[in-house]
Amino acid sequence: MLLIQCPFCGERDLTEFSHGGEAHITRPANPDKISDEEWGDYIFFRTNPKGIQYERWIHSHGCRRWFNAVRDTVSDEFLGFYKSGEQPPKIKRRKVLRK
Amino acid sequence: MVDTKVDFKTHRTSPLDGAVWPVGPITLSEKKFLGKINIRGNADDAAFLAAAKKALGVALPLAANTVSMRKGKKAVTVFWLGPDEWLVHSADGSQISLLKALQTAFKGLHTAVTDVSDYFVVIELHGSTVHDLLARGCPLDLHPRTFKPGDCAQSYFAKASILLHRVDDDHYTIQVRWTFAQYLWDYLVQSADMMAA
Amino acid sequence: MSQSRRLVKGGRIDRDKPLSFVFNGKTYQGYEGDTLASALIANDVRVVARSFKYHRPRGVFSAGSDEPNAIVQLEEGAATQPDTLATCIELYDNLSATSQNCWPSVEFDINEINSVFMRLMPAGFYYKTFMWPAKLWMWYEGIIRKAAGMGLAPKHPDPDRYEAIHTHCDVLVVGGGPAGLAAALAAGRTGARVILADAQCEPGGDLLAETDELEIAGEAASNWVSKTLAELRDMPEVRILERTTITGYYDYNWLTALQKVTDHMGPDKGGNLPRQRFIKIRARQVVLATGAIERPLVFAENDRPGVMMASAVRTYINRYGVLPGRSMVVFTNNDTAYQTAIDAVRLGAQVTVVDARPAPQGDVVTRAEALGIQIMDRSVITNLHGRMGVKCVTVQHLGEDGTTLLGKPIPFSCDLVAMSGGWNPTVHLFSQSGGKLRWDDDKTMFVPLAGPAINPSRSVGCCNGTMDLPGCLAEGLAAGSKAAKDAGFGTGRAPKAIKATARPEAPLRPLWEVSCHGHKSRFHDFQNDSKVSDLELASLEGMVSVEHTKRYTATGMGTDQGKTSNVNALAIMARIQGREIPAVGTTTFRPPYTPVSFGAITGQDRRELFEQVRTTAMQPWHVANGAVFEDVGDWKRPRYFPQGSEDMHAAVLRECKATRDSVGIVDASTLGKIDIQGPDAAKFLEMIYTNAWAKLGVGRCRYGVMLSEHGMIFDDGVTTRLSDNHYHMTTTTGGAARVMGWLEEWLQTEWPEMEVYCTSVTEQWSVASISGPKARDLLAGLTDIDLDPEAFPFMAVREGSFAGVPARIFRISFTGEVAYEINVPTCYGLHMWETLMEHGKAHDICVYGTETLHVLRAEKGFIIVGQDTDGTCTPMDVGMDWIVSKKKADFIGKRSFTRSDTAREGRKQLVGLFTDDPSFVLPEGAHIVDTATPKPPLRALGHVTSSYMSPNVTGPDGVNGDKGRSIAMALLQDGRNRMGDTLYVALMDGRVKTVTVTDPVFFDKEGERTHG
Ligand SMILES: [Zn+2]
Repeated sequence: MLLIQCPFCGERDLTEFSHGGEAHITRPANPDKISDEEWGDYIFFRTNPKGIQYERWIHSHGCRRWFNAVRDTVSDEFLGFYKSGEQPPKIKRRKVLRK
Repeated sequence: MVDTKVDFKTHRTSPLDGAVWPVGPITLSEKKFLGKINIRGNADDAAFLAAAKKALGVALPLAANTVSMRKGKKAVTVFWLGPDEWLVHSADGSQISLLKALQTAFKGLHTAVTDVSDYFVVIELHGSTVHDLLARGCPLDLHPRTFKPGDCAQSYFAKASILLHRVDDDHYTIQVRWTFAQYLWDYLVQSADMMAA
Repeated sequence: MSQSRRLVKGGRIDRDKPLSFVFNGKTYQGYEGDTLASALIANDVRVVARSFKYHRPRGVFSAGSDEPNAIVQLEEGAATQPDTLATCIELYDNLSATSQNCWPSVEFDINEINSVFMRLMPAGFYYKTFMWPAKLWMWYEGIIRKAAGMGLAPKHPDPDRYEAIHTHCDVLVVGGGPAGLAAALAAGRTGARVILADAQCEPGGDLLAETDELEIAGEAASNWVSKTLAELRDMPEVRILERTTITGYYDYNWLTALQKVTDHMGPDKGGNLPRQRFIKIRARQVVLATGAIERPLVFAENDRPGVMMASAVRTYINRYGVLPGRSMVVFTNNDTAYQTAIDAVRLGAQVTVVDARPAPQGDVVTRAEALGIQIMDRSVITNLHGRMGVKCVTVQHLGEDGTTLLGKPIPFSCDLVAMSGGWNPTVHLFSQSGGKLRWDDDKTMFVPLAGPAINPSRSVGCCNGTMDLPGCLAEGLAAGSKAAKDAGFGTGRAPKAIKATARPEAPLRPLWEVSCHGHKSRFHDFQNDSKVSDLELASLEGMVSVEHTKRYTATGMGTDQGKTSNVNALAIMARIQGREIPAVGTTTFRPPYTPVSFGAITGQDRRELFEQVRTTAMQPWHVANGAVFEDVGDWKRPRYFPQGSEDMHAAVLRECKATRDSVGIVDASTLGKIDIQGPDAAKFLEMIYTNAWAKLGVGRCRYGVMLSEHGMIFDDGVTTRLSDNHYHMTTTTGGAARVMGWLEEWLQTEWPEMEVYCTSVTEQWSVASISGPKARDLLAGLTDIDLDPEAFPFMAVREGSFAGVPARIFRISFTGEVAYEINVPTCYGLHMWETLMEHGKAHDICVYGTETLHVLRAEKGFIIVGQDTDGTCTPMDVGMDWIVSKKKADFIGKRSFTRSDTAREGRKQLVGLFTDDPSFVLPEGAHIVDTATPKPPLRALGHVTSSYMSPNVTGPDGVNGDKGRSIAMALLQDGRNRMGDTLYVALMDGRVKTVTVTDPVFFDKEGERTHG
């Protein structure tokens, strides 16, 4: 079970959190000025990468704050946590396997 | 015509009816009708912090998962709930004047002060094995190295969201929503029963 | 004769504490400290079970959780447990067990006929034979399941209690053998929080099966174990969990364990204690010291009772004081089995060693020879006789190629074969953690290579391929210290080395299968009756991948998860495919390591604790007044209040009529409530709701609908402006948490600059909703608020006192009548309710529940989100165009209205339906079609969303009879253009009902009553 570092409360079990999908998707400023395709891209399409993903979490059973995480979707390793509105941290890849 | 004069302290019920329940070395009890006020505000705003301190008589805790307490006649316990959210426990009935005092103190600031006295219920637990009992439903690490007297944490117990406070080594309180109180109580009692063999 | 195979002394059993037990109806004696298996062996019970597929007689094979044969049904009635391992059941007084997979008895099993036809029942037999016709599969399956059945599931509710708990530690040590004890010691001495989990009733691992010759730290190994445990028990931060198997290893060092708390006492003997405890452990660091499992040898007839693992035989001798055979053939390809031979000979057994290696040498061989044990080198067993128990084996010389048989077969009479094909490190948990394995050619075993960074663990001792005792101890000490350091304790330097007896071992000779003459059964998987010939057949039929072959032959698929069979199967597959073992691959080990009962996983979450039941402050009144409840989300809400012998239909008709005639009251406390404050609150609501909010006056209420960004309705409710920057929002009962989350998500992640705070206040307020022509009269006597319609108009709020307590009263209506929603702090909820009921008597008050609430609102055509909508409905689809602002530039969901699918003509739209038969209430969910004689395939035009019997609505004929008038709402393709059309509703039972499409507002279309 994942162990998640809430930027406010500290390290807690996955079961206290809810996943909120890909991070850094901004709502278009003028929805009525954009094409159906652009709008469709905003509401329907996500990157779903194999590898590093920037994603949103909310600490549902804790402080109820949204925040962001960087996770390797292959190894499930968290590479960083940061608050909503903050710049994502620079990710240095670590070796995944260890003895 | 019934009397329409407001009377705050009669006609009241609480979800656990003030129950007290000893199981083995543990005693559970409902802490009835505690005043509870939710405060939202900007922790980076010195004016807000000063106003809160003035109204409460104690500073808002700014460190995550801690409480600050004022003892004595106007006793309050203030819980950190989030970077811009706190909860105040105060004596039965005192929340009415406290709410007004906070609203007055916060005039002109973007804040929210909300009476949640009946939204939540507080269960007190005393006993040497309470931390073991809490492990029956709560995923937090309650070892004294990581959860000390004076610490608080929001988490869950079984299927109920809770605010847990370690008052002292063998003394905890759990705050839970009114409608989850009976479920939580039953869960605690049944779990404690299995420990008391 | 009683316990004929019991030794007079020795072992860790207590001969002063005899226990009596029943196996297959016969009473036997054993001792405290026995397992069921050791007690059965002591009593010379050789056949203990029948095999799964061929129903061949089987005996005890091992001494642990790798046991594939001795699977029994433990106890009877409600407490019965199927598929339990005799080798893992601690004996208790009056234990009762029966053999599985046999009928009528384990000695004579009718299905053993399968064994005779074994050659006709190869791998995939069931798949191939019963494939066709598909219709009969269900029938075949029943027969097969009975014939090939495992144990019987209990038919009664489980009488036992279980417990699930969370725990945390710095270092979790899995396994209490020498390596695990050393690791726990090293980690514990640093002050780190250590958990030592051991599956047995006492830690020690294989040291418990040793003789006193083996020394650790200058004394007998068993003494060292006791002293080490005593030291560990003195450490306040060390916990020793006995009878605890780590069953699963999940991400971020989260492991699950099953602790058998009272199983060893027998049913009903544990007092209040749970039978089993499911422990969820979060460990900073893990040390795996899970040991190794001895590998069987695959030779002809190797499944016969009396063929056992050599280490198990030694365990029975030294730990349980039982000699499983007096005339023993030890069949081995390595040194370790010699210890078994030596220990057995010393106790008077006659022993011959059959060793596949040419001229084995070394310390242990020399010692064996010195005891006069006959050693046949370069030899293998090629055949075995004795269906119900070994009687004789045939031994032949083995050529240098490892397959050719040389010379004349020599028969040996014996009653026991103790075999050893080497050892497999128990890498299951390491593999579950995501660890990769490496094939070690020198050791001929899979050993851990590297684990994933998210699961920091260290494998030590036998599970790491380190088979010698001094090595195990050294690795344990080092890993314990390093794990503690990585968790923040100590220096990481290992304590002083522990001296121990070294037993140097000569290399083994790989022997994956032993040639034989003719078509003899050579089993590699005993539990699944899988043989070498099955693997060969699978290959012939085109299976190459390990995973396919496993499934086709069922290898490794049983409750033992291939503990003894996997590696042998891989090696045999390698031979068949002409590849190296690592090239064939490894199989993935999945949790659980040993079976876990559902009861344990469920823990306390059953019966009344299965799910929270939320009730309002008025619940005592509802219960006392005979409410019938229904589940709404996790709430219990009164559905109706029957009087006398009324059924729901009669009660609801009465409640509906009374509300429109006098005054009705319903408990509306479950509605979600959110307190919204801040200077940007109005701006925020403008984005959240589809209609305009900026100009809503203070003290006024407005109904609003929330959309997702797809333009679809997801919740609705009334929001009230309490003061300039302060709003009180209500949501649906089921949507409360979702809406609160929705508001916070937008505020926190999209519009953090907006100055708005939201606080959930659902439980803070208890709500009684009174509605009907006499609602105002009722309220008038109970409040100081001016109720004059001018002073307190529809869609307004007033604050004041109600029956002596503070209240907020909203004049809003879900019934279409004059209505007030009285809100008081929840501690006064019951008082408010009782006051209203008491004073309501004079006004013919009628209490109603959710059913009447639904009818009354349906009469008015008000939707229930989630019932009349389903996530694909825009406000326009449900006829609520009026609630969508044409002026606002933007709100959530607006942009999606112009997407081609949302904007197209002919979407499903909300309509009303009148059945031709006014007394027939359509089932909700029924499909609407355009033909009176529907035949599949059929195009559904829509479905019924709400359907009731109404006492107030007049139908198209202008009539509402005594029994009411059926009304329904439906989502219908192009519904609004079908007004007046005749359509049909197809029912599940084949009947077809004729309906007329109508407006969904059935009652008081002008809304005069609401404003009255
Ligand atoms: Zn948090």
